[in-house]
Amino acid sequence: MMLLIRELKIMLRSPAGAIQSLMFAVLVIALFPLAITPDPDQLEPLGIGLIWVVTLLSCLLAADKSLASDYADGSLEQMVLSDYPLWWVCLVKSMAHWVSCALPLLLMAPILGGMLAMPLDRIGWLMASLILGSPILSLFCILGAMLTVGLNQSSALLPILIAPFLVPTLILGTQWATTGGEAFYGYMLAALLCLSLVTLPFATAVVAKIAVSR
Amino acid sequence: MSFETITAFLAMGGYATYVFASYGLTALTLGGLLLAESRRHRAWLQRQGSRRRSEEA
Amino acid sequence: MWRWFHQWGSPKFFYHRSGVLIPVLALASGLILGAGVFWGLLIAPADYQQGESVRIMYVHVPAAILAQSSYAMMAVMALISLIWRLKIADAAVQTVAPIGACITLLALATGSLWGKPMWGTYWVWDARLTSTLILFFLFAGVLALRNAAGQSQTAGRAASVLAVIGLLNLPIIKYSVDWWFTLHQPASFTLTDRPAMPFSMWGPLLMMVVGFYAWFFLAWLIRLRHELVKRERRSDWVQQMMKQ
Repeated sequence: MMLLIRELKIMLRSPAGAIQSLMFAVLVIALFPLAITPDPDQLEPLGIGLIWVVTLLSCLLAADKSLASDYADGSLEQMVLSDYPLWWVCLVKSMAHWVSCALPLLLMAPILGGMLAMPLDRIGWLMASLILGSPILSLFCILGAMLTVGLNQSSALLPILIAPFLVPTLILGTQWATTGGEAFYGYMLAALLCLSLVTLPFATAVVAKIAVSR
Repeated sequence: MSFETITAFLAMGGYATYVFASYGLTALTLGGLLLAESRRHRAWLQRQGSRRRSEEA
Repeated sequence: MWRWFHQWGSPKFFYHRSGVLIPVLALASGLILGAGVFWGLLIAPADYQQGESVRIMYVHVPAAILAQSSYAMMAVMALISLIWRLKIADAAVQTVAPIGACITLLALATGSLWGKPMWGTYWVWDARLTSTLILFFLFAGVLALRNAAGQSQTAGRAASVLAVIGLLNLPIIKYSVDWWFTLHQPASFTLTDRPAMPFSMWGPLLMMVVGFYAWFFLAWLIRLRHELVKRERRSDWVQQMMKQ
């Protein structure tokens, strides 16, 4: 519990990361009408997919930085060696990532949807799909961050590693929102969320031990 | 034989480009990988041999 | 019995004993692939719908099957390397990844060349081609991580974990892509169901699949032996071998 509060405090102290993710998302969404067409009839069917992809990209970009400072100042190693169950540490990290990156985007979704000429009911389903789906994204992104922490490689490495794993979430989330809430996709997405919550923190813990021994 | 004449075989019912391109790519990939592996191994062995010779000298 | 397995875990034992397999596999793959190509290209009948372009199936389907099973083999080797800390398993993971990636690319290329006469375009976002593309990205991920993390033992372990996670996610990815789009033909050959094709077609197909596997193990073995010698170059048995 203390760990979670500590993470949130760290994040609140420097909201720059969250604001940057937000700005990135708004910017990219703005690029699409500029690049394609301002015609709302053409933009509207693309809206859900575009916002989902932008959320995915923002999460990947934020993940890269999320563990870097912990690794650099040695607190990652301390967490691995500490008495806290390592899976809980990883889960907390994922939650922190979600709060700092996905949650702002979720709250911005109505505005992003408006920029892409989305009607209100579709925005509603978009937000529902993001609520269920974005935690899965965060869990995978933290896994990817743990795999690449400490390597001074290009920031494209993490997306390359993790993007394939995000495809099912992307497909299910967008399908659920596009079909206006067809139950099958909703159940599948919820099931994926439960599966990810139960397995990914443990997987990340295994990787954390490897990462720290570098 | 599924083909009457050699010309018919080479024409492949109009799909010659696709069929022969596929088989060609396959031959290139399979053969090329094998060749590359053997060459790499032999080159490495040679480098090790010459390095040892220069160390002993 | 375990002792027999344990023996194979030693690089020296593996290297010396596997040498005999190379000419055997080379001969086998050469003969089987040659016969398969002859059968598929010249003797097998044309399809009444697809005409002669169906012959591409005899290279595309084996490549696709091999692409998927080579990833599975890589992940199993990765698991063995993680659980039993066997160096040879780690070398196996490192050596199979590039081969698997190339075969996946070949499957994509031949699939695309098959698609043009069949569907009229070089690329179509159907379930099978798309999940083969994702499979390629999975291979690329393992390769990229290996490349970035260096040659150390921890690098190998990180890449192995990624491979195993990839394998566990693979069914989920495949099913979700299937739900997303179905245009591709049903699988042309399964081990349990009766094939929908006549023997004159699945005969050469089976032969090509076997030939591809033989080639795969040949290529992997050559690569693995090279990697083992490289890793163990300071050890006695390698030094002695090189003096000869």
